[in-house]
Amino acid sequence: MPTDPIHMRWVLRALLSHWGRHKLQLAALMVGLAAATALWSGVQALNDQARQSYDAAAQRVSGLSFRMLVPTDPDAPISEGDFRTLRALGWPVSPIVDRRILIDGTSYRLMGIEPLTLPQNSDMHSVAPGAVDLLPFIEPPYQAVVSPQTARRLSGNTDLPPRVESTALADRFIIMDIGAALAMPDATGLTGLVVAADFDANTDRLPPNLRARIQLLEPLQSADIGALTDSFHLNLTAFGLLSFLVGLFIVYGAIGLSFEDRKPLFRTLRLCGVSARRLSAALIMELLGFAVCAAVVGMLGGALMASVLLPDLSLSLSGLYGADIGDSLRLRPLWWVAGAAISILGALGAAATALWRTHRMPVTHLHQPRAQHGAYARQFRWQAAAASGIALIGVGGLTLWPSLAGGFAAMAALLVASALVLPALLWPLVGGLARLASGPIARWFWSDARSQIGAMSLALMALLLALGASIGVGAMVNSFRITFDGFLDERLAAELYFIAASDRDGARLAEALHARSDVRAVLPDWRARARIGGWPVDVVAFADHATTRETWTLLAALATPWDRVQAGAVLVNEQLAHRFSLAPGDTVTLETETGLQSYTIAGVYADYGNTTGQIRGDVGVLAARFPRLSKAGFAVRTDTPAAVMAFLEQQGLDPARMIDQRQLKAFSKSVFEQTFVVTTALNALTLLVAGTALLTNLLTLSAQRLVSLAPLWAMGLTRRHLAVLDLAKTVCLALLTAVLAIPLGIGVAWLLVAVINVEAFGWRLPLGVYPADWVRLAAMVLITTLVAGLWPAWKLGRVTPARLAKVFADAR
Amino acid sequence: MLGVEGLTKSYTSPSRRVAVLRGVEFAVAAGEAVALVGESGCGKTTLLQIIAGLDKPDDGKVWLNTQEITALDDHAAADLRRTALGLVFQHYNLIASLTVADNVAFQARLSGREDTAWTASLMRALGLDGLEGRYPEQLSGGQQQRVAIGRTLAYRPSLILADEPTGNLDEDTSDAVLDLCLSLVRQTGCAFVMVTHAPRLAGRLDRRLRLSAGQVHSDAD
Repeated sequence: MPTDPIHMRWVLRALLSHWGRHKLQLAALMVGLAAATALWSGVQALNDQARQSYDAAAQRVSGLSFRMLVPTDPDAPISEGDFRTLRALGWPVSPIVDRRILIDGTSYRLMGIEPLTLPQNSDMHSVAPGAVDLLPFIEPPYQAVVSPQTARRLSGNTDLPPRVESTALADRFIIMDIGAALAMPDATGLTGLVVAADFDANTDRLPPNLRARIQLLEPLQSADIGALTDSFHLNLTAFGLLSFLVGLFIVYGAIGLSFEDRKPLFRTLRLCGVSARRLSAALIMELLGFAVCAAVVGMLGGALMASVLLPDLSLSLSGLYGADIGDSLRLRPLWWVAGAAISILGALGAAATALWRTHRMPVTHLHQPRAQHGAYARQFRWQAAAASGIALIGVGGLTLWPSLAGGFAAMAALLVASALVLPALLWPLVGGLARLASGPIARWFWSDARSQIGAMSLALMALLLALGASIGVGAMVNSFRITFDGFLDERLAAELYFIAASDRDGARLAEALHARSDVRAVLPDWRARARIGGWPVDVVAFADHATTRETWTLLAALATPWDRVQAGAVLVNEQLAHRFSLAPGDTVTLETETGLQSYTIAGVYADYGNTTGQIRGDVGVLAARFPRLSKAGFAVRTDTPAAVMAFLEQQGLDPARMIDQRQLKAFSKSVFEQTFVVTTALNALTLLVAGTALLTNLLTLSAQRLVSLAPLWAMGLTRRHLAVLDLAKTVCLALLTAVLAIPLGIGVAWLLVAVINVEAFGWRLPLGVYPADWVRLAAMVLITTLVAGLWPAWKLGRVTPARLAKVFADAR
Repeated sequence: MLGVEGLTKSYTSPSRRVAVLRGVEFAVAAGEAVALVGESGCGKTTLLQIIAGLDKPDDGKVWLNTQEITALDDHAAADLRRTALGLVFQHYNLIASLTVADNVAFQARLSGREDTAWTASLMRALGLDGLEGRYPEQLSGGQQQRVAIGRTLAYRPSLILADEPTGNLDEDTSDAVLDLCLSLVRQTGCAFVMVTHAPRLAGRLDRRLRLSAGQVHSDAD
């Protein structure tokens, strides 16, 4: 018998007609999906923006730092004669001018180069003169190579040579031939001589007259900002994922309820000749439609969220890593595609169980009653068993695979396991309260609350995750804040810091300061570079003084560590100790320009915020063993820092080379606070989404609640009384969830502080417990639940007697 | 038209295996109206579900004209229900979110056989005039069952299977609904099999089949 083709549009129309009569379910589905997409895509927009900026920065020349020979005395600059001498000796050097100039009030970095002698393997060679023709560059009237933005800034300028644009240059950066640079007004001669990176530039081999006047400056480590900030972005991504999952809880709940409500419709469709396969296809088409609509709304929301948070993120990254990601958001087409994909995948993922059950359910048994007490208890036991398994996998994974990814995997396992086990914990807890209750209303109240756990479990799980994350992150931030404040007081104990232009100048200024009565001490802060296992390490030489002995707290130390340091031992920072598994009493071997040097470790100190390894030793010991120790830095103990700064300025020290401790502390604290602005905002948004989950859950369940409440109404309780009881029940369940979120939050904090931070940054914070935060959070839960429950309760209070009476008619 | 051959079906309860159908055989001709009666739990609904392709027998065959329904997979059985079978149930199975007019036209639209003139005449015949824009919940039980019957007849199926279609209705309404059903069945020439507990209603159909001890006995036997 031939069959007619099915007209799927009527199937779709029948499916969609459900939503017209259940607008709140539709709203819950769309809000959940849009919120999840917004939070995820917002975080991704921030990450994407930052990564684009890092890539762009890596391709631009702005902070060039070369291996250079510089004069030991700034008043005795390197001459062209010195350059010729060195070339004659076979040194691959090239003269360079590197200074700042002011044009129309704007500061520019001017770099004069000699392209013919410039070492082929220097970074700069790839920028200029490769970007232009050689002859016009080196012959009058010369050329000034600038970025397009700088070219626009300097469009009217006639003092500079004709401009040539190069996209490889950063803004406010000018490169020209050294002849042109030396001919510029206020030119002060050569800054130094660039040395090929692979040349053995041991100045000890130079003639004595040059060796006394010239020192080699190794380039600053050009850290890969992308790598440095990976941990930061991983944190953001983890939070985005958590928010996304919390949003999906709403979607899961709304879809589950809509499928439950539409079982009779599915049955009718199947009876009318729609096969299970076609019904599933229609449901997926419907879901895809919703997902695309929610994706558009969610991504616009995500873009808005990212624009709002970008300035804070920009400040954080700039303060932490010196990374400039700009303040205006740029969204790539791929971002839109990825956002739509995550929305669709999220919707399908949240609907997978419901779709599978609908597909598999035989048409003759569609009228299954909703899960009842026994079924819920069984389900919760299964969930608890699954939670135990997931928790074990998390613990096992962390033990076997102690890494950043392992830490995040353990965090995910902890959160998922906690969410799964929540109903199994609430079930006996509320059941116990029901048994303890006296009086029929109180007993009914708790029994009814227990019967609601199953229907509300998803919203309560979302709340638990949001609260757990909030408590955990809050504890980490508080621990960090308290530790960081103490750390700054220790580390910045001196009132003033300065770096002289050269070692000789430093010695002169130190001597002048010693003569002042208002200066208690001038302490060396001298530095050199070394390596351990190929990893660059800062070597800091300091003098034994009460400033360090009395203020520094060591994380771990041998007995009498300061005396040991004086005797030749060293202190290492926590990052270095963690990276190479070093402990007090161990020996650390440094690769230095004069060969390998070994030191006993007397102690380990905290060095929050530093991204590299550091080793500190006595100035007498290190000065003898590091001939090229830079001796220009000093810390000054004084009660009159302003007067001392004025004095140093009179002595010819550039104010930019002085740091007032109070200003530095204030700046460091502001950077610190900024760092957590984005995290705190995401935390608040996640809590908001959890509140929305609770609201949508209560609204969608309100019709079903009538079945439970109508008998009490018939027995004489007023609708208002019932509404208050219903609201109180929601608040009680939310508060019990908040109590259970405390151990989860402590677990999250421990993972953040003891595992993730250590793996990401190399340092560990002491973990604090902050009950005041819990009280604050409980108050927030109370407010959130009251706000979420008020509308459903108000609706319940106003439900007509006819509607309540209909419950009994329907039951017949 | 409809042929049932050696149909057997058993269910396994927690304590034992229950044989519900034990070699059921009967046939229904086109235009014939047959009542299927029997005690509660004797397997009438199971038999109807197997005929509709909603359930599978342990053994035996069901034919609709030349097509073996029992050999069809879920997809093909759904196609058959959409194009050749009409199902009416005690609980109406209307789509709550569609209006009366949309419910009546639904299955005809689904199979691409909507005939607006025929649907309009059905609406009049079923006494649903003026109720087109209402939703099922705004109708009485008798009205809802009439909508269900209208939906079944709107696409002119070859066979209508009705499982206690008047089970929720009072006596007068039951008579009215059955009168209407039979008149429309005669008008369209389809076969009609109705499960009922009411001997009074069963007696008004062309033939009675009694399901007892897993087997069907015709009242003509």
